[in-house]
Order: sequence, then C-alpha cells, then structure tokens
Amino acid sequence: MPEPQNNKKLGIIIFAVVALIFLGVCIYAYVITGSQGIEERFAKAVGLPQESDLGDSGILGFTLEGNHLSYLIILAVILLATAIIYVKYKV
Amino acid sequence: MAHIHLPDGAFSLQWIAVWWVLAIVILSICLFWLTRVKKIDNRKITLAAMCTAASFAIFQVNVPLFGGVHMNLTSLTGILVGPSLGAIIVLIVNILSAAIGHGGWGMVGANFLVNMTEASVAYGIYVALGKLNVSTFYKAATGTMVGLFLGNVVMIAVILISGIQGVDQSFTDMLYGLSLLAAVNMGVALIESVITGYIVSYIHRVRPDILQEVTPIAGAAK
Repeated sequence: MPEPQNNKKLGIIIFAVVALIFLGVCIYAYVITGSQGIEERFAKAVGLPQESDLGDSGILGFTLEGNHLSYLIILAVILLATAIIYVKYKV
Repeated sequence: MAHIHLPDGAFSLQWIAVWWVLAIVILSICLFWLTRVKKIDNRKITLAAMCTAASFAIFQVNVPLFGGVHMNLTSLTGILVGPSLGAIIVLIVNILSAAIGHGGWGMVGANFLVNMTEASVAYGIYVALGKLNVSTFYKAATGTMVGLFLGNVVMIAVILISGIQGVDQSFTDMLYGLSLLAAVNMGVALIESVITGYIVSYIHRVRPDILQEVTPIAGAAK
C-alpha cells in the first residue's frame, strides 16, 4: 500500500512562522539585555542582588551547573540503571 | 528549558507549599492514569529511563549561547513517553538537579509545573499536528517550540503570583525583566526544537513502532 503524502508544506509554514517570531523576539531581547548568564538574568529580572560569576570557563564555553562530582555520580547511577532496565526489558 | 533559577528563600513558605501541593495533585492524577487507565508496558519503562538519563545529563550543561542557557529535553520526553510518564521523569530530574545544587529544593514543585507544561503541550501539539498528517520533524519541532514557550509563560506566572521575598522590584518591572528573559530563552527553544525534531524523526525512521503508540491515529494511516 503506498504511503500517504505528508502534509509537508503545512508543516514547514507552521514551523517557519513560529520560529521566525521567536527568533525575532529573542534577538530583540538579547540586544536590550546584552550577554548575561542565566542566573544573572534571573537575579536582574526579579531584583535580587547579583553575584559575580567567577566560575570556570568550561570546555568551549560549556560549563556544568551544581556540584560536578555529584553530577557524575548521579549520571553514572542513572546510566547503570538504564542499562539494567534495557537488558531486562528491551525497547 | 524554562526553569525557575532562584535560590531557596526567594519564595515564601506558603507559596512553596502551594506549588508543591499542585505538583503532587498532578502527579497523583498521572500515577492514577498509569496504574488504572492506561497501564505502561516494560518497553515504555526502558524508554522512560533513557529519557531521564538524557534529560538529567543535558539539563546541567550551561550552553554558551546568549550568555548562558539550558536545555532539558522535557518536550522530547513528553512526545516519546507521553505526559503521564513524563511527569515522573520531570519530577526525578528536578529532584536530582536540586540534589547537585542546580536550583533550590523549594523550587522543585514550581519547576515541576513549568516542565510538566512543556511536556504536555509538546505532546498535545505533536498529536494534533499528526491528525493533519504533518511530517514527523515539523510536528515534533513545532510541538517543542510551543511547549517551551508556554513553559516560559507558566514560569513567569508562578514567579509573579508568588512574589520574591526581600526585593522591592515592582510588579511591572518584574514582568518586563522576566519577559526579556523568556524571550532570550525562546532562541534556545528554537535550537531545542530542531534537535527534538531530528531525534523524533530519526526514531520514526528506524523504530516507527515506538511512535505509533504515541500517535495511534497517524500511525493507523500509515
């Protein structure tokens, strides 16, 4: 049986319209606020005192939130649990 | 993607309790649905475990875009496992995030509501566009973008309703500041929506059976 043609044009139009609106709004807001970290943005938005962020610069600018050791331990436990569940049940 | 990045003590105890109670009510409905109405099979549990790992792993990474933003793949979770199982994943990820110091413990209830909105709306839009026979990439990407937008709206509403203790920022200033923050977040939402669209369309190509359970109507037509 031939597969029905996807309504590709409608999908592209809906996605493009939404994407363009959000992209425009994002660039406008970024120009107004300038480059700030997420915590800085939040603190400024609600009027909390801003703490200067002197943390590490990470890898290519990508940094980790919270305690790094705890992150690695918890992630290892979740991955192990996922592997066990996968072996037992499959997908 | 939207996440209330405020420390413990920013909300009063009364509002922390209100958001926690609301979160528990929603979670209870989801658990009731999963145990009594639509029982989950073992394969879904495996998929949920994978989504939990991916969501937790990526959520802690500060992406160097627009000064620093986060992704959390809650919309992907909602599309793949549905909002009811997604609720459990969202709660686990928020609790584990608070455990490593990313977000306050008191914010878990409020953040659950924000992320639950993202997962539910993304799922709803994905299913709705499926009925219009829109291609998998576009329905997942559009669902994600709208879901993340409404997640930001809920985030702003929760903060404005709760108020912030110990600050003298006016309601209008706070609304303006949070709107700018949400607007910047939407740039990242665009990237997350493209990633989600690609992941879902890839799964659709290699394992369509997984997605057929999500969109049985669209699946039946194929």
